[in-house]
Amino acid sequence: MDEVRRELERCTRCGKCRAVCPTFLVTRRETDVARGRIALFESILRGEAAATDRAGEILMGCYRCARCMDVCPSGVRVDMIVQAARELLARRRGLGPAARLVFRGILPRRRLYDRMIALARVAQAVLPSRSAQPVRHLPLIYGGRRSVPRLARRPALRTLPEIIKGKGEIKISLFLGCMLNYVYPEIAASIMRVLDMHGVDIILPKTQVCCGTPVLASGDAAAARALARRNAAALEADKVDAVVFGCASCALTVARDYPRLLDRPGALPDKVFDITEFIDRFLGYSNLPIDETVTYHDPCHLRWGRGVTGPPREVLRRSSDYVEMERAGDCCGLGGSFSLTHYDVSCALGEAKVESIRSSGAAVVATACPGCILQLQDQLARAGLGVPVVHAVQVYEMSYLRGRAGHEYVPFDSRARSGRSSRF
Amino acid sequence: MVHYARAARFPMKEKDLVRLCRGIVGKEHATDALEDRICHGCDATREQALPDLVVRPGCAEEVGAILSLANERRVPVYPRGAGSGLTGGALPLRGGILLDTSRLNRIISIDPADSTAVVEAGVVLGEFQAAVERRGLFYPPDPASSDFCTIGGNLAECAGGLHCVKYGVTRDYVLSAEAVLPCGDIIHTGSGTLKSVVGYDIGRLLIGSEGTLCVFTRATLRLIPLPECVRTMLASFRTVADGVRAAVRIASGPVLPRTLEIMDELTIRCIRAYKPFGLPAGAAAVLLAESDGPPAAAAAGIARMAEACRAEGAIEVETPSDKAEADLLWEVRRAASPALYSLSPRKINEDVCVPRSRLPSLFEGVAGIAARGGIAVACFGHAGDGNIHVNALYDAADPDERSRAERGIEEVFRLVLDLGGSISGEHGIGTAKARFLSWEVGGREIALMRAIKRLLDPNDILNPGKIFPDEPRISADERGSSRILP
Ligand SMILES: Cc1cc2nc3c(=O)[nH]c(=O)nc-3n(C[C@H](O)[C@H](O)[C@H](O)COP(=O)(O)OP(=O)(O)OC[C@H]3O[C@@H](n4cnc5c(N)ncnc54)[C@H](O)[C@@H]3O)c2cc1C
Ligand code: SF4
Ligand code: SF4
Repeated sequence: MDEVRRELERCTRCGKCRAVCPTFLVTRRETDVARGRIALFESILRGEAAATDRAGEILMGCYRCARCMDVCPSGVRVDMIVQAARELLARRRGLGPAARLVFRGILPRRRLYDRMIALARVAQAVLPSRSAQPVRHLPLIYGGRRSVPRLARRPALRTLPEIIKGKGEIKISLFLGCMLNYVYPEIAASIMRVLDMHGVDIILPKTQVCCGTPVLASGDAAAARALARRNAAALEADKVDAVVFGCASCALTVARDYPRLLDRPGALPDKVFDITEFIDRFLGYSNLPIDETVTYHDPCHLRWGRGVTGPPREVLRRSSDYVEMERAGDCCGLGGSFSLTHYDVSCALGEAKVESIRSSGAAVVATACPGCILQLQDQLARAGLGVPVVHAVQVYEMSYLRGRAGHEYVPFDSRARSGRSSRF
Repeated sequence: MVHYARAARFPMKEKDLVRLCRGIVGKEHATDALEDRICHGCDATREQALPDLVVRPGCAEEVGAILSLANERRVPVYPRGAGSGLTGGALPLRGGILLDTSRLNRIISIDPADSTAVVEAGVVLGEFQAAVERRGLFYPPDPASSDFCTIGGNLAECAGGLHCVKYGVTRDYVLSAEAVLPCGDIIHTGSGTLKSVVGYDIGRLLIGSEGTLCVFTRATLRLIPLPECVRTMLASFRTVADGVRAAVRIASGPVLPRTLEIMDELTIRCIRAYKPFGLPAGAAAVLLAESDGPPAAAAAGIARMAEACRAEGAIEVETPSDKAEADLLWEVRRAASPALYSLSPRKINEDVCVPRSRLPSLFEGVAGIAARGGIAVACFGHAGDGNIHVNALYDAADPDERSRAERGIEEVFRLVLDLGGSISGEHGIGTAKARFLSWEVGGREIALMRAIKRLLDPNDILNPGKIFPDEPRISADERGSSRILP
């Protein structure tokens, strides 16, 4: 807490965060920007304000996108402050019973979680779909106010192999996260194929669980710690050179929050690689660019959270006819947590993003986070713009296959969602 | 410092004020929720005060209705733009209504034929600049806060910035303004034409009045053609005196620079520690200058400035023709503020202004004050207009250091006035400098200013407690509220 107080003290209230904060730029209210959130949290700590519903709304409204931290002249760790604020609120106000059950009872248990998702899938087939904002973090589906994305028939962790032996040069473990596991298993498979094509030794620990991002966002540090311990044990069971992620949010949580949760710096966080970082750094480029124009959207958690902007672009530049879109670093609008911030904020940001995509003229939009993929698909569909949304690794895979003789190039549109290869 | 010790609460009989305000601006745009009031109670001074209500009007008529209601009830009203002010102008010191202009954010028109634009007061300066530049036009006032401060706040503070040396300050670009007086009446100043001498120049009186005379709701602004080309120069000097002399030489012509910034030794040391940048070893002063116009003229201008620097003994002069390289040079200047913060999280930041020719005496005098008082003082800023940011750094945990810094700043003010200067070039008086007002402004002039304030705002409801020290407070009973907090 001392560290948090020091961070609070460093905010000079200059207001510069107003220039970039995505929630502020939509609502233009001081309650929806880092400065206001910090001022409120300070007042709560001083005992001048209480942990009320309104305080919850204001402090939960932050996307923790870290955009403000990029411009802050004093380098205030807003993400740390907001996290501390949420933990304080959770302690003072308690979590709802549903949240407690999910965070503490279900998430740490892989099979139970699988079954719950399977049930949700049945419900999805029976009940008409509601038009509400999709959840970014699957474990928050109990919240009830958001629509659930279409769940895959079988989770990736059930279908993909646990170990693939490679050339014995470089060994990684792969972390999927809820979205790749339950919603986009085809992306998980694509990551595995790409690594396999290059002879990387792969371990996909089957005991991995939710990374804990949504749990942290709700302020339940104890439950997040339990998940972090399980994942650390799963990912560090074998000596690996890197831990590879396909989800920017999971990677950020492991890199940023695990040292504190596990109460030790180093090791695991230092090995975090986004799949595009990994390709760019280790796999060379023996591919042949595909002919389609592809543009790229920066996931906040990758660009502003971890400062990664070059590798995904380099991968796409080498794999396709790449075009940069305007304001690629602007948030797509799919806030992380329960979204007490309103659906209109999300849509306003989403619409701006759709405009950037439209005016880039690209045939395909790629990104590096399943949450963004979900939001972009939702927003593009609402706008009636038929631009497919893919993960950058999928573009790379295609270009790689194209680089090999005898492989026919199948364009994105005709590739069904179940593009899971029969290789595994 | 916190201006409230406990959460303020409206006495029941004032409770209907929220309802009435909601009736004017709509339910979702007026609130008395404590959390919202806290968020709106600060500005860049880092002080915190607590309003009773936050109201976000959407047009001039709503502002008028709010002010006339407040005037009737004797409730203070504080205009607030982006809250980026550095002197406490937007702090709701005595409770009352915090009037947030963020919803007045439309650019009404940009007219290339007349080179004018009409904007609402809550428009963010940087968004406006980008919009006019897309049409090949230029709005020069450019405070370092341009990405987030509002045009209304610029009018209220008569904001300056980097381009003033050549292009002047905000006041030079306001052709006409729509403003709401404390009684609620809406007035229009000037005519919107480039020239007009019909009656008193009320606009000039209101601009720089720090939200104490009116609430601006709209302005017609003058635009000029966007210079075709900008060239940049960075020159390093062995002593501050060399750098300052070079600045004076450049600014006195024959080519007026578009910007002319100086950084002193301590500033450079902080910047180095923050990020290396490759500034030459032994540099005790750096000048950053720009010249603009058609490409040949800009290049000739920058060559003249480089010559002036060499004549004053510069150890290194860079004049990149490449835009990316020029941007790199600007990064040095942009790093000044964050660099000082990383060295010392607390500083007293003053923006004094002296006639340019007196700059050498100012730097010399400040160095003496710093040495005698045992304080770290970093100076940087707009050398071209003699407007220097004097930053006295101190450790918040050390009360002695803080009071030494405060005494040092007072000495700096005396020095500045002796040199025929002004204690605030662009940040205004607000609350932070109110007690120094009479150091610079004579008794008769202050009396005249107060008379003007009383004429326009007899009940002292608009931004009370700003500019003038110990303005008699409206007592709690008089206002029918017990909500004046320590
Ligand atoms: C990092 C940083 C750099 C800065 N650099 C510069 C600089 O280079 N040059 C410079 O001149 N200033 C600078 N400033 C100071 C500040 O940004 C300017 O004074 C700016 O004009 C304030 O605008 P605002 O919208 O934030 O106003 P606020 O801070 O909200 O208000 C400032 C004053 O204006 C009044 N006001 C606001 N809106 C209205 C309105 N519509 N009608 C009537 N009164 C109103 C308020 O009551 C208050 O008294 C800087 C500030 C920061 C934090
Ligand atoms: S930019 Fe940083 S210092 Fe400035 S108000 Fe925002 S968080 Fe505080
Ligand atoms: S983390 Fe993102 S949403 Fe939160 S205050 Fe910073 S910029 Fe705004």
